[in-house]
Amino acid sequence: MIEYDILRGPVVTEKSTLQRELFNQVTLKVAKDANRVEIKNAVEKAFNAQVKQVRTVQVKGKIKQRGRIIGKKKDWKKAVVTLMPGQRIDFFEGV
Amino acid sequence: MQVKIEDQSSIKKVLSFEIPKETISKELNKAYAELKKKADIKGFRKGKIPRKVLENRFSAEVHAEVAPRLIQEAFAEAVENHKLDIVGGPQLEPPELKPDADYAFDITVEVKPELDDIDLQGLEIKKRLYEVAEGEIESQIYMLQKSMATKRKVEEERPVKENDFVLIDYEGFLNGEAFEHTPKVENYVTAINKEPLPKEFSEKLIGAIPVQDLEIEVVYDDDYHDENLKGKTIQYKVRLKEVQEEVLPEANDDLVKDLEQFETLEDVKASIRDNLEKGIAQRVKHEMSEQIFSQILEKIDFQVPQALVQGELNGIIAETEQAYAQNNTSLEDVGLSREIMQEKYKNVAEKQARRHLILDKIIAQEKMELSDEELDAGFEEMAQAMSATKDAIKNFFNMDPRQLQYYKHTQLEKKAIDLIIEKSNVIEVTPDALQGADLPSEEAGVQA
Repeated sequence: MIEYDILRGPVVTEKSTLQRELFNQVTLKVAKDANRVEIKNAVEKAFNAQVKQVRTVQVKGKIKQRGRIIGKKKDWKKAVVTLMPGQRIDFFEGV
Repeated sequence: MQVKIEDQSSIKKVLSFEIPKETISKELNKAYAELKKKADIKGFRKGKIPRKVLENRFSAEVHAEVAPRLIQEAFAEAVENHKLDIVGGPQLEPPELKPDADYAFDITVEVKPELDDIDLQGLEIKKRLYEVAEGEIESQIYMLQKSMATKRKVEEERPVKENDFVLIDYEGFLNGEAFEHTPKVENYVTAINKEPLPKEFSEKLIGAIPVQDLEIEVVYDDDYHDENLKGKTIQYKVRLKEVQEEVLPEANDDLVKDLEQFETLEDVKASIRDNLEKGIAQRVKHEMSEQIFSQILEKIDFQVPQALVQGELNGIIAETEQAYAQNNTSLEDVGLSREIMQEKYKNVAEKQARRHLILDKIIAQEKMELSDEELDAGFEEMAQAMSATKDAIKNFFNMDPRQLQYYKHTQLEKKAIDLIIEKSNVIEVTPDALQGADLPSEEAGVQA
């Protein structure tokens, strides 16, 4: 199931909640090497919804320091998926 | 809010509530607003979490908090409005709270039964005039002597009799060999014909004259309490060294000097008489109240709420457990359990519950109240019984108003009983005349 390899999970934040309510956009964590087309196809297949546009962002992992030990959180890719007007993804309503 | 009250019986009612959805959404809004301030969810700043997200995450918790509150408020209001006298806890199985529907639920409660007025006139009570028997005082003095008795060697040469004490050495042998669990014991003083001395010992020792060597064979039963001895036959070599007898101290003033509180024998006798008289007074009162209740119960019939019976039952069981605990045993040790007790004392508990209900009714019916002086006298009495100061008792009750309420109630109940006795025809009889019919309840049955 290729779509589940690409889509890694929802991003639930104040910003993403607002974007969903105002612009009908859902925000996802996606595989780092996935491109917009792949993401569009995956979302359409997995959630059975029509996608208008996909925008992606490379998110740099945060530097976490605890005492002298410095660590780094993993970099990841965020995808903001704009749905066609009237489309909805129930999965995101529940998060 | 709407309540429908349905009487299932004189003591059981079902309250049906229906809380409108407007009230529910108002309550929910309040709860979520409160939660919004406190909740902390990753990805959101504190206080900026949208309602939707809160609902998704916390709806179960919020409903679990709001539903009981709604139920409790509604229930309290219903109790207040309809003047329900509820005993025990209400029973309910609340359905799940739905945010956009009316909330309907049933509560089953037990209420105190409404009793008809009780006619207190014309009860006939027999009062038995017991008297302190001189013999009883004598026997108590004898017990005292016995407890302070000393043992003395019998100088003359005579055989051992019953009720003597003997001084012996003994050693037990199993199959002719020394046995580790019956080692040699010297200068052991024991009473003849009393536990734990095996009866074989007593049989052989009676008639023997000191100093004398004896061989005694004891067969221990298979169910003997000592693991090491049971089922075995032990030959004892016994040397009877002395006969001793018990010497009772003379009953005179010297005897009572050791008892500290008393100076003379007469004092002790007076104190014993006093105690016996108190006991008799209690017994007479108890008998009279027994008669009263059995007669009143003849007159009126009512149902007793199960919660009250259970309450009485719990009291009885707790008391018993405490009594056993003081002796370092437990219910289980004496072959009882809470279940057995429940079964055994069910009737007693129900009777007690009935009594309390009757007394409650009489207190209400006669509009009885406890004056401050009477309360004070009660404290005084309790202080004496517990050998504490009156102030300490007062403090205790002032600290705990519920206890005070409870205590006042018990005093009122006592007063009620006195009142009934006052109003009844008390027939004084000598105890001998009634010897045949001993149980007051039976008498009442015959009369009716």
